[in-house]
Amino acid sequence: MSNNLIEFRNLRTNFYTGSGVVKAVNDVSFSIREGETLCVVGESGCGKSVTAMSLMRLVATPGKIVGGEILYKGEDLLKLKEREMRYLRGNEIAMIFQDPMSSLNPVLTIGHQIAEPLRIHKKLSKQEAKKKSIELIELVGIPRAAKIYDSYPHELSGGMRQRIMIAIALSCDPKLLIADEPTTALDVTIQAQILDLMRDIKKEFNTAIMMITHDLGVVAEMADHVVVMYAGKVIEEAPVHELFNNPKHPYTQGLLKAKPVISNRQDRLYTIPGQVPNPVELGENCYFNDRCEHCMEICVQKQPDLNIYDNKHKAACWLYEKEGK
Amino acid sequence: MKQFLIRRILQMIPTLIGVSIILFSVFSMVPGNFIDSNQTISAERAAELKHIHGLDKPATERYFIWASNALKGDFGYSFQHKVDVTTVIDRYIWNSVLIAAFSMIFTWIIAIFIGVFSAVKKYSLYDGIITFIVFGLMSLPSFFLGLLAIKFIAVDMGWAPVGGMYTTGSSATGFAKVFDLLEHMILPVTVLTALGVGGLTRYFRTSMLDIINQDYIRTARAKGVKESTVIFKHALRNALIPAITLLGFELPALFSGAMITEKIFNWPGIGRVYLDALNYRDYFLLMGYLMFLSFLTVLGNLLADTLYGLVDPRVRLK
Ligand SMILES: Nc1ncnc2c1ncn2[C@@H]1O[C@H](COP(=O)(O)OP(=O)(O)OP(=O)(O)O)[C@@H](O)[C@H]1O
Ligand SMILES: [Mg+2]
Repeated sequence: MSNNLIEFRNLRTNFYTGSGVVKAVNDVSFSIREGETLCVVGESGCGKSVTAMSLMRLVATPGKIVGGEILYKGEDLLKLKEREMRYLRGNEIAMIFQDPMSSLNPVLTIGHQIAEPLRIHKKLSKQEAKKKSIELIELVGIPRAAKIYDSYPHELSGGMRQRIMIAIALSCDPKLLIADEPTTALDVTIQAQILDLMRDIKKEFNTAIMMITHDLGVVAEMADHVVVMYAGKVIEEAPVHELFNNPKHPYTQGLLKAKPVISNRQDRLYTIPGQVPNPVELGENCYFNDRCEHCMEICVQKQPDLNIYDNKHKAACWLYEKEGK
Repeated sequence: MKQFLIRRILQMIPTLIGVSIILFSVFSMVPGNFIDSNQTISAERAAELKHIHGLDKPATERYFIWASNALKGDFGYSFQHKVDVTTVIDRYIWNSVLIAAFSMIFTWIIAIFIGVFSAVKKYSLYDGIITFIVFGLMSLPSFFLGLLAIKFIAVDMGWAPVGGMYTTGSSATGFAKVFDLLEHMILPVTVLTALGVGGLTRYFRTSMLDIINQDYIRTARAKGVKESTVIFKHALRNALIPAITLLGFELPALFSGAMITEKIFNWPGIGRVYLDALNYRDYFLLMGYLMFLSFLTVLGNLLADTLYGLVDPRVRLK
């Protein structure tokens, strides 16, 4: 297989809040290969966005990256100077955000916002940047690109704005595209169009994609590889087919059960019992223990490691360890 | 745009008529006038004077006389200054505009910079100190701040003259005269700026704090935009738009004069003249001046809305 483009090694990001330290990303390790689509799934608040923002080094106070490494092409991003990091942002690593309605600056034209990274990173002249911007607007499938270039965000629909966000992200041909729930705020048909667009882009430009979502439908459609997070930790990681056919962690099994299947209609959808633990009061145990139907003595005493099993399948669960048998 | 302007200008008319009625009623309800308060003239002379100035007529009739003259640009006669009200206003108002304009420019520049930086460095030591100073200055009464300024800047340091507009008895002309004027402006402009900078700083700080947390600022950073560009282009532009409205509202403040500050520094401005006119019950001057300010207020509102429409793409007027 191809090389690792990004490698998270024991990343830790904390938030220092009034009520205590929130370990939003707690010892997370996984990697993304060139040209691969990796999906990060997990319940709300499990640290998906913070992982992505740590990669961009845009975690804002009271948050702070407190440990680990993030290797990009073998070089630790956390050691780069701010200026060097800025050179990568929007250029080699680009990001699309969840809410297209608020992600564009209301007082700058669409054209200006697309041209900005081209002017900064590719040092294009005004005319060149304009030409390239109009091409990008066409690329993401918006008609009358020249007119859109001079419009303001409020004149565009949500789907169009998300396409513009994609155009901005693609402007400098990034090696990695981070998409943080790019379709959550959109309705279903637009969602499908945006996902199609991202798939086309991946095929055409061989861009690696780190896709954050809690929609398993999106995962099934897009992912090559899946990382499942729970309370700031990676609890399972596997190629997409392996994960869907053979989920190991009870949490992942619960997630897959919670997904509606049309051929098998039930009166109520399955829900995983209990709630996500309070991120401030986490101890040295398996964070899922109180919601887990297989909970054993060791689960409340010790934290399981993320171990590798057959078929590149990693899981952190005592069920598969000799201590748990 | 043209339609919008015409409609808004027409809407100004009933507002101003309403204001003029209220103004006139208030002043005609106050007992006494300039002639009554003058002890040195005889009763016959007083009655004669009242007749000349129409003060013996009923209030409604007087209102219509006053209002129709006002429409022709004649706001009556100032008993105290013995000339037309418009002449008095014209004579003093520009002195007020001079210091108001300078202090407004300084206030805005200082408030924008302090506000932006204390938002960027929120809760830091810098933010704390600056907020303390700015609010301290804002909450001091103007006479006290004025006296402090006289003591430290004029007397102790000798950097500026204590009061007045030109050095008494000076016959300087040209550049020397302008320089003399500028020197005399130091104290009143400093005091007015210190008084005004607090509110505006707070405004810019809060709106920048709000904007810095917006998603589009995160987008800008994720594009690799320099932090200074993020702040001064992506954020400040958004903060300035609502501030433009404030700028429109400042139009009357530009002409209204600063009563206390002008009094302290013996500055021949309209604010001081107004304060004196109150003591003399020089009603035509008071009414004329207040009417003029009302007009500016309404005009300032229109200006604010128009500017807002010009700068905010979301409400850009068709
Ligand atoms: N600015 C902040 N201040 C304090 N805590 C924060 C902040 N941002 C995130 N957190 C904490 O970090 C944890 C992870 O948040 P994150 O935004 O990564 O969740 P997420 O997995 O992206 O959830 P969602 O699916 O809702 O987007 C949460 O528990 C949250 O409380
Ligand atoms: Mg998120």
